[in-house]
Amino acid sequence: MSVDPLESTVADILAEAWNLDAQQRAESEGWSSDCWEMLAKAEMPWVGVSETSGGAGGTIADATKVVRQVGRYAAPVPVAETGLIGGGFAASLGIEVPRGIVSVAVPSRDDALRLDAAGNVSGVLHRVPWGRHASAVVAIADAESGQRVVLLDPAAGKTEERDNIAGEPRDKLTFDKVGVPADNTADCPEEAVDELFLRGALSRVALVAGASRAVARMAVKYTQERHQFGRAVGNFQAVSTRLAALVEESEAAYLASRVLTSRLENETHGKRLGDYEFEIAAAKAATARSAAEVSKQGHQVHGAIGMTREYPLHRFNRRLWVWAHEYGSERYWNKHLGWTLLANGVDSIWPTVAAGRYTS
Amino acid sequence: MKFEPVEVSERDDELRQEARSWIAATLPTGSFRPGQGLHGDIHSPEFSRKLAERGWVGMSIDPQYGGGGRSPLERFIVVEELLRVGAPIGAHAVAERQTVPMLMLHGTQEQRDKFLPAIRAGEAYFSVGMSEPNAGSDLAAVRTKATRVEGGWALSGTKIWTSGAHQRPYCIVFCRTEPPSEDRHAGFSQLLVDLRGPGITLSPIHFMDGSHQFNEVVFDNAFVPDSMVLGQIGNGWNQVMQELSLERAGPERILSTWPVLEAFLAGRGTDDDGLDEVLGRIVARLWIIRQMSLSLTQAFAEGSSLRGEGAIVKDLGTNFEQEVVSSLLALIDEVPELDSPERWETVFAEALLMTPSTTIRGGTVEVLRSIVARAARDDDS
Repeated sequence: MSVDPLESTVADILAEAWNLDAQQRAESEGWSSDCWEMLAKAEMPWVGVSETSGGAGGTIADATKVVRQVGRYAAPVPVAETGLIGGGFAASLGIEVPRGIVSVAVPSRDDALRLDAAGNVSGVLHRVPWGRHASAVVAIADAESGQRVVLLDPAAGKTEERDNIAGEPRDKLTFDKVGVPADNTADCPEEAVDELFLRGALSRVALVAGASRAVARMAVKYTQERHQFGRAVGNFQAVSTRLAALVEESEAAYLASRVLTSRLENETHGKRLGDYEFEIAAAKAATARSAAEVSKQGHQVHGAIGMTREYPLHRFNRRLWVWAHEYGSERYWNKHLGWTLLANGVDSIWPTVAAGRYTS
Repeated sequence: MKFEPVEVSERDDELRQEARSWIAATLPTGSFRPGQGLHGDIHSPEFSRKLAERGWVGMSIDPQYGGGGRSPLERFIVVEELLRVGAPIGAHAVAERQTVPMLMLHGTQEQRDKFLPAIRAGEAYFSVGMSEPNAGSDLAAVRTKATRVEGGWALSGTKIWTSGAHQRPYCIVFCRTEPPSEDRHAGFSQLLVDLRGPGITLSPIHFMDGSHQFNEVVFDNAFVPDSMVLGQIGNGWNQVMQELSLERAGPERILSTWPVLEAFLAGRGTDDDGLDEVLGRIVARLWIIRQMSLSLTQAFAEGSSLRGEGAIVKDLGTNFEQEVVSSLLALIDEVPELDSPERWETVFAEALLMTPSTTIRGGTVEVLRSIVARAARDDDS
């Protein structure tokens, strides 16, 4: 397989930085400042954010590569939010992105943020990834004139720390008439909201892809090393059948992410992220399905040891459960795909699949 | 494992449009019975010849044998469009997919001259001579043997399942030319046999829906001349493994039930509760399996063999074919009937009877998963 230089650089950094010491520190800190520092030194979190907006440059395709490797190591660092999602999105609207941890509030029904005429923001944001560590949070607020993108400073509001099932920070942020400089706001048309959501979906596809590959490698290795009844457990057909299913789904997930990277790199469908909506939707739904199988088979072939805190499997599987569901669950994207295809006409279904973009 | 994203060119897109238009004009909906998998191997020499005249049978055959010298990716595109509608490609499908590459890899000049132009013209039809009553998944247990006689070989034994042998007279027969030894894979060869010759008897084996697809073929000292030995005597195992890998990773193992979905939506309509989610799930799954299949088509074109990867695609693809049918069945309250006046319903009912075969023929998913598990272990080391 061809090795991408950017991906292998990120992988090398993480292979070194995400060592046992770092893992232990992350247990108590709730994230890995070690990994973050090493990645930040190489500017990796800001790949995909334009230099003119304070980023490291590089394309959105490059950003997906970085995130894929973060998933591969399940490194608890807010790289996806800083570059691919929040930073990249804010920069695309002309907002300067500070060097630091950037997070994003996923547009959701639970949140209500208002921007008043005086430029003050009030409201609540739920489940903000890495909210407690972020120096800036990208969010969407309702204003008189319509929706606005705002860059908020969490320190100006109140943070309630909460973790998701994978132990990742998903904090509740409350703002009470917090002033936001005009430079930190921008118009947010409906397509921009869609784009933010698509960036998030892209990030989760990449993370799931990386983590799935890691689980597959771990399972293959473990089932060769673990011996019972006088042989490697992986040589029992009942086990190797599960391993095969796991490997198949992990390969599917990994290719799905690489296909999206390739499309973006080649501008296959156009210059707007919305042009890639069909394949992003298909990839998100497909990887969510694969993630479920990978995590299930991953646990089963590891037996009891895979359920322990000490053994690393849970760090990947818990994240697979979360990432498969964020920015649209499998069901959400299946329904979205089906609905759109039916609206475009049943004759459009095959041509859409073959072309990789919606046709009518 | 080695899967790579494939980007198609504008020319590829144009070819796809051409194929789509030609198919729509040549096979208008309702004018033919869409086949799926087993039945999609609907034998129509007439259609094969028409397709051949258009230049789309044996597309990748070298121009020196009258072929278009097109790439495997171009062939992939045309075959996909044919499978999409359930076109009756059964007469030439095996010849084109397997026999052509085998002749290019192992055929003598005489064999290539004899068969390639005829395959290219949509006039030479092949069946597969591998399985026997006691040798299905375990192909090394094959007992059909060829003994040396003057000028050739005397072939004796029984082949089973031989799809379409009653319609497709040429067969690459996998047999023993040496007695069994310590090496389970030694002593095999492949012979090109005309099943209409003396000493060969065909009997139908009826499929569970009553149709005649499978056959038992008994060879009783059937003479095969030396000129019809394919490749090397004794190299049969390697050759047959190659032949099997050729039929694993293509669209034929993914799209054979697609016509069921299209007929369902067109004929029954789109009002079933939960259809959107089912459709999305099917499309998302097809999308990624297709990307994997495209990747392998490209890799085969570049000469890689990728056994583990081929097994993955066939396992995922053939299960997908079943999933299309079962997930649509879960949406409806009545069991489809074979003699319904509604085309969507008869196609659906036929599919229900056919789909158990997808995960069995051409290599059961159990065998495929053993291959995948082994490849994953080798990958890791």
